[in-house]
Amino acid sequence: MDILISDVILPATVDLDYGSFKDKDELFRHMVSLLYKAGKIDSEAKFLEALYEREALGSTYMGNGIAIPHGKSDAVISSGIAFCRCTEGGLYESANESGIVKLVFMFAVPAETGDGSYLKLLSTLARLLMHESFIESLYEAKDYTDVVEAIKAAEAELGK
Amino acid sequence: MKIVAITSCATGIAHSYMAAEAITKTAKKKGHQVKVEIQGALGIENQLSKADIENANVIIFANDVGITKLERFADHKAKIIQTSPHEVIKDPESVLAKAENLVEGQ
Repeated sequence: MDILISDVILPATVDLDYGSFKDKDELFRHMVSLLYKAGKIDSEAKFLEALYEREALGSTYMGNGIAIPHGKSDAVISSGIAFCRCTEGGLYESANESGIVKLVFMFAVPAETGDGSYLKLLSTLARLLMHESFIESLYEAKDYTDVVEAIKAAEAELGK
Repeated sequence: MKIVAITSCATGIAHSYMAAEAITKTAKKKGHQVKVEIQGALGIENQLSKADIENANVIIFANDVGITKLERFADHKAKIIQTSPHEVIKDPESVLAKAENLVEGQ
């Protein structure tokens, strides 16, 4: 089964004008609320807990202004990705690392993943983040459609 | 030179794939042949064959959880470079430099 990226990243889970955040917790709460409002998770508290469990295992700060916090939890109704782009960003502290982060992808994965196609999509997005041209297109995106188009274009490039 | 690598991370969702991409991209840029096995939430992807492992000049282990089917590498310990997915993602150039140094020293 093919999953459309537009089913996983919804207009309601993308915030391109987040500005700044004072710490990681503020950022997490903001993004978790986007996932909650979009119907991707049924409990903000439980999903936050899953994010922090993952944080305890090692850094989700990726360098280059990017962070990818993620959690697997039975509070996740269906796989979702929230994306925040910050103009100022904020200090992101994760495990023993920290840096100023402006682009954040938050992955929400159900406890029972079943069909691997959602995971496949998340892993593809993770790979795209290693490419500078993709990062640039995320900074240039004007709206949700641009973000989805940037992901599709980079995916096509990856497949070559 | 021929590089093989295994990436594996705690949740198997993001880091192993990013690390695989970083190794592949950087190795190709430097003109090396490269094959990366990913051990993630979807199981083993792009599994290294016996021949892949034997013919490799260097083997990069980028893992922070145990590697599945580790016995495949028992006879090739001298070729292994141990690192983490995170190191590879943040600084693939220096991991590749280590690999090149190991091969030059052989």
